[in-house]
Amino acid sequence: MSISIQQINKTFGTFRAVDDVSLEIAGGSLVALLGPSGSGKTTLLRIIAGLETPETGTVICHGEDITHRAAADRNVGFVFQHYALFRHMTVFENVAFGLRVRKRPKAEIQKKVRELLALVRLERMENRYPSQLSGGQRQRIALARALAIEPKVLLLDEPFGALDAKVRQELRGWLRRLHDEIHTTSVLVTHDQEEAFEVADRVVVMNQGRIEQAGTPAEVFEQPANPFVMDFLGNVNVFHGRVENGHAVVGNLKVDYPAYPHAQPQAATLYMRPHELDIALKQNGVPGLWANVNRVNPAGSVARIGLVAVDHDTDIQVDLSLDRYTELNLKPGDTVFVLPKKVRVFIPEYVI
Amino acid sequence: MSNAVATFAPAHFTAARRRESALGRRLLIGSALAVVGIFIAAPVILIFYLALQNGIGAYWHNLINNSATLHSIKLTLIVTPIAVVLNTFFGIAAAWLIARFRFKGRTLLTALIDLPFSISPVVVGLMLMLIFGRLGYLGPWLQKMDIHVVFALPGIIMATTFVTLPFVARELIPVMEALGNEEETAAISLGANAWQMFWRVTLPGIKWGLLYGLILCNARAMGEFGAVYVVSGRIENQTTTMPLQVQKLMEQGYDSDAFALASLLTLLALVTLGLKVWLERKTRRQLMTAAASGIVDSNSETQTTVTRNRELEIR
Repeated sequence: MSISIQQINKTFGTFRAVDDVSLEIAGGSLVALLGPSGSGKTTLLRIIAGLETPETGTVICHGEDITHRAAADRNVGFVFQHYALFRHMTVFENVAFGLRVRKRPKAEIQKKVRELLALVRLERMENRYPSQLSGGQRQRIALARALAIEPKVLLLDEPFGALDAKVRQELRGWLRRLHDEIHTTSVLVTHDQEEAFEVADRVVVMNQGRIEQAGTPAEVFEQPANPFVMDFLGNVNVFHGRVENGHAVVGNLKVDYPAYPHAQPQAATLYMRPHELDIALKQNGVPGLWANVNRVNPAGSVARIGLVAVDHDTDIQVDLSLDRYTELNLKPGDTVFVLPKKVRVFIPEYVI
Repeated sequence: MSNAVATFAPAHFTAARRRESALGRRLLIGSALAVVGIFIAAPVILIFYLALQNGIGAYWHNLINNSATLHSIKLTLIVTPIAVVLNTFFGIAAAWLIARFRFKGRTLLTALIDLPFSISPVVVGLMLMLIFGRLGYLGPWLQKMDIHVVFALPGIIMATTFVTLPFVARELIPVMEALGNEEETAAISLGANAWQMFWRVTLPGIKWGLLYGLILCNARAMGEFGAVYVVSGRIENQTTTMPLQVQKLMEQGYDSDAFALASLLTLLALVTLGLKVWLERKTRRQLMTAAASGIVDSNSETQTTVTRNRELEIR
């Protein structure tokens, strides 16, 4: 079922939680709403679920306007960050809840619940209480409970936020496989960009109640629409320089920037991701920056090199492959040449 | 050697301190026991002693063969459940409102719920007289409609309900606040209507707190004297409840009848106390099994039980 969100506004007191947001979610896709806390992603999710009412705007689900329909009648599965399992009910009864309130026949409930418990691989837990389960198991039960009502849309509000790193990693992969199996249109809220990129078909980056960018994970990561998205999607080196005559300039680094052919210089910010930088021991004709090696950390899948630019005292982080690191034999104190493989330039908007 | 001497002084010092504190502790425990013994245990024992001093046969005779006493028992058994039921509805509704919603006047409502605790029951009775009494604001109208409120069952029920109003709500507000509304929201999102949500999710969550409030409410309703004294008019065989009848029998010099009835009232109180202790144990055991199961993480579950338990201990 496709979801169409049109010009939604929602304020809490004087706080504008969702600011004129429009979004199309294709049927059967898994979309991640990604953003820092207070960006309005959870509020938007709750509006889709009917747990909040927008001041203006419409929510259309498969061609049907559901803006003013009660949450109970929307047939939407909701998974909460803190599971929200019914603590006085067994696992079986938790999963059966949505079917019981719909007064389905006993045999059908039995069959459906068993099926779902098998799907989340917790068949043998049906007589346990939520307090007897681990966090990861609880969230799987919460998901089974949400799926029991055969929802048109599955909404997940930071579903792995309360779990530890290893379990989180496992459940992510599991959720993606599950989605490939059942194909329910799903919206996932998260502040973890890794999670969004790993699980979702499309990522919607939100900030201060607005959508900054929407696209496939590759699009958003490779072509960030603005400095916020660039900044939010993980580690990045930021340089404050200028643009002039078709070039962007920071210190002795000069790269082509044909989008600004004017002679009048203007302040600009240059962004370079750590893995998009290389290091050379000597200047070799390619534009780059002189920097001093500060610290090296070869533990992990890449070697992380911390440097300080020689002529303007900016911290630079470079991720090198371990082979390249061994080849260069870098030590703290070395003066090297940093070569950007890819530079993104943003000119701050200014008001005349 | 010097080492031994060096440690000797502080050790001696601590030992002295410990002895001192042990003495202080014994003194405190002793005086607490003395106060409880003299002011609580002794009178209770005395009541039962005086009631039963002529044997169980005479005791039974004193209770059964006085029609006014029998009627007072009947009246209390009618008034108390009605007051408890009314307060259950009010208590759940008020606690729900206060724990789940933020609205103007919420603080005022919270304070007003406590009012019956701080106001003298006699004043409560007087207020009811001023409204519903023959010379009260609604008096003439009630008389015209031939509705009897004061000096009748409705007045007694109103007075008892008013005085016991805070028990259920007070008990439920912290429980509901600790439970949070996530489970209720989950129930709604799964398609439950408000009624199904209440019976299947809210009520099971608050049941022990509710029962605890009901027990306290019940105990207080049975024993209510001051407010009922004023509004009932103490008409024999009509509006005299158990506590009023005890006082009446004393006044009239029927001491052994008074002791018998008083001991029955005390017995009911002791049963209530027993129930309360049992309930406290049960809640505490829940907490312990939750902690022992080990997998209960920083989730709100443990916190809830802790809050509830602390609530019980304060009482």
